[in-house]
Amino acid sequence: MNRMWLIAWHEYAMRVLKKGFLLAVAALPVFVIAMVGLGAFIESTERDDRPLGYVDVAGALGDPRPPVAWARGPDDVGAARLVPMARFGSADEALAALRRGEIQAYYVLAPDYAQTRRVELYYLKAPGGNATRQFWSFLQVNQLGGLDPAVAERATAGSNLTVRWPEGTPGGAREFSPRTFLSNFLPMILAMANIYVLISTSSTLIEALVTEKENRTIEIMLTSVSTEQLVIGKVIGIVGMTLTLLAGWAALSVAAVWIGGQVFHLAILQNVRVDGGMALRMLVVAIPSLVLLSALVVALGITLSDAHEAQQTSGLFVLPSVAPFWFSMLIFQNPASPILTILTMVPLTALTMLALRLMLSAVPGWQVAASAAITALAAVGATWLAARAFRLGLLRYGKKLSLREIMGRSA
Amino acid sequence: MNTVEVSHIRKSFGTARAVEDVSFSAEPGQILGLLGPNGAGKTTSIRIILDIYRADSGMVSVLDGPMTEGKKARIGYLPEERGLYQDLPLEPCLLYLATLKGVAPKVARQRLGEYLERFDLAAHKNKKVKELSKGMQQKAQMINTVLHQPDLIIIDEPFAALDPINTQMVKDLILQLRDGGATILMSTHQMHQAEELCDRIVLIDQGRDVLSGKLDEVRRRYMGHAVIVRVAGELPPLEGVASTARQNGSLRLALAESASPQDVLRQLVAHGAAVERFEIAVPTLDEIFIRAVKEGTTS
Repeated sequence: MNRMWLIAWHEYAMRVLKKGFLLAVAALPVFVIAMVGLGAFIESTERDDRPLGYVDVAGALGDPRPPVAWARGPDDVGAARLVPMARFGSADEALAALRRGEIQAYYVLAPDYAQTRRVELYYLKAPGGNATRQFWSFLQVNQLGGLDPAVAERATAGSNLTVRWPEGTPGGAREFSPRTFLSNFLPMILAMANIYVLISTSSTLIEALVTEKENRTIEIMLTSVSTEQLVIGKVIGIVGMTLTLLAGWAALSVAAVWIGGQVFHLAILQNVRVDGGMALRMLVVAIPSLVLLSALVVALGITLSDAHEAQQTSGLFVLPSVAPFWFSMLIFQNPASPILTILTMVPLTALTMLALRLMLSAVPGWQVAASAAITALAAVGATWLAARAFRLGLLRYGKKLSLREIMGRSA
Repeated sequence: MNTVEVSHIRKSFGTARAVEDVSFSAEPGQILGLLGPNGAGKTTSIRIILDIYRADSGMVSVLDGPMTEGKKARIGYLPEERGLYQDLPLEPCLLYLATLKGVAPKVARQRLGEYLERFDLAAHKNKKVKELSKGMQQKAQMINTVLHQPDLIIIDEPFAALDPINTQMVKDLILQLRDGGATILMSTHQMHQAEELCDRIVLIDQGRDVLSGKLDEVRRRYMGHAVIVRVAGELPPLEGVASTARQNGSLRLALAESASPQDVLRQLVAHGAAVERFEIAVPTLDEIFIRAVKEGTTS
């Protein structure tokens, strides 16, 4: 096996074939499940399915239709459980029922309800959020009593906006709607994954290099392999480790989406599609971005001689990847803004900015190509810089290497 | 054919001149001692040979030509600062480094087993390197240096941290490798070790080689015209002795130019002196080292 691949495999196996790695793979899904579980638990504590009373003093509701299922979102499975609405002739009857525990609360529609829309709520303990939401839905449906029930239900459901970019749009045809919600957010998910890859790769790579330098292992290694084999082998191994972790998480996510969509019939998980063109556009920028970051980290790691300092400094390179989030408001308002276009071309911010823009609009192909080309050029330059820094700094201890020295003739 | 040829190399780091002008060569089946005080430029010279550093000027030939990636598999290197993977168990650590030298895993495993037995490390092969004593790590590093059966072995202070028993083990290995035809370049400032092992020496001081040659020739060059004598009782009066000085319970007799050691011995026998010790005063490498450095500084 080529020595570079031996190093790559060694770096990979040393980190992946460990119990700690399996725990790391399982950690995120466990965390997400725990968070969702916690949310469900909190939700359940706020839920109350007992009947809700109302007193229609004004006679505004006449012969009311029962409430319709009110869903806060397509995955609100609890919405199907309706809270019975109990009508009382007077406030005293309702109060007596409340005290007996037959109802959780009751509303009183004011005598001048038609003019003021005034409604009073009476309770001993605050009613469940599901019950109050259903009461408002109940009121709305019955306000629209003259309409076809289906129309009334649709009117109470609110807006359902779908944005479509037709064929021929720069960047291709796309659709943005609640139905494709998760698919639309895939670029954002990929951007977050990319930031994780950058953080993980840079911190692990810098740690591996500085530790090897501190332990003097690097001197042994360089009597067996070239600097290029050493550095590229390490980068491949460490990126491989990060991608394995991501693949593990992706597999668990796919399984979760499938189970959620097909077994539990959660609407949000039933129309998840991966846009191949979008993924390709991100990939052509992601690869040179990763090479660029790795080269910068190598240059930094070899010029420093203290692992702690190196860890702290490595964050500087990841910061630009997060910076596009500062422009979130502008991205939502005008994804084609010139500032955002420029940031799509700037190496290190390019990938995240591209992802955020792809989430909300179509990005012209020339911008993607220019971004990939500029990032690739920067990666070549950074690799050249890293190679010079490596030779000068690999056995220097206790004294930092200056940029002037790296650029100097003796490197 | 020389395995290593170094000719007038020079290397600076910024304004600091680490190597000023160093030249030497080493042949197969020979141990060349690279001697000198701390900071003389020995390790920098070694790193230039290994192409870890590039010389500012001068020429280096390794295994019949410039250093190449392919030649790295024929070189074994024990650096002064030891550098094994601290968090790896000993056996996988050494196997990994051996495979980087191009040794097939199966062969590496077999050879490693033999070396671990020889150096009493077999029982510790599953321990992490950082759990081993300094001496054990030193032996492990020595195994790493020779496991791939290199033609050129460069060892920097190989006896540091070793007790006498382990020192002897390493010495025996070095001599065995030398007898097997390997070229050994040994950097040390432990003169008695160099004296015992080296066929040739190069003395480096302040970045320059101030003395080089076969050990016997160097000794002869620095040999004074004197004898060391110890007799029971008083030393009889002797002709041709210019001065007398006490030295470790014996007397060091500096001879006049016209006198020879044989003349002195004859006179002692003629006087009926009970001679307990009589030897021609040969300077130790320590003494040669100090004199050469002083002369180098003076000149």
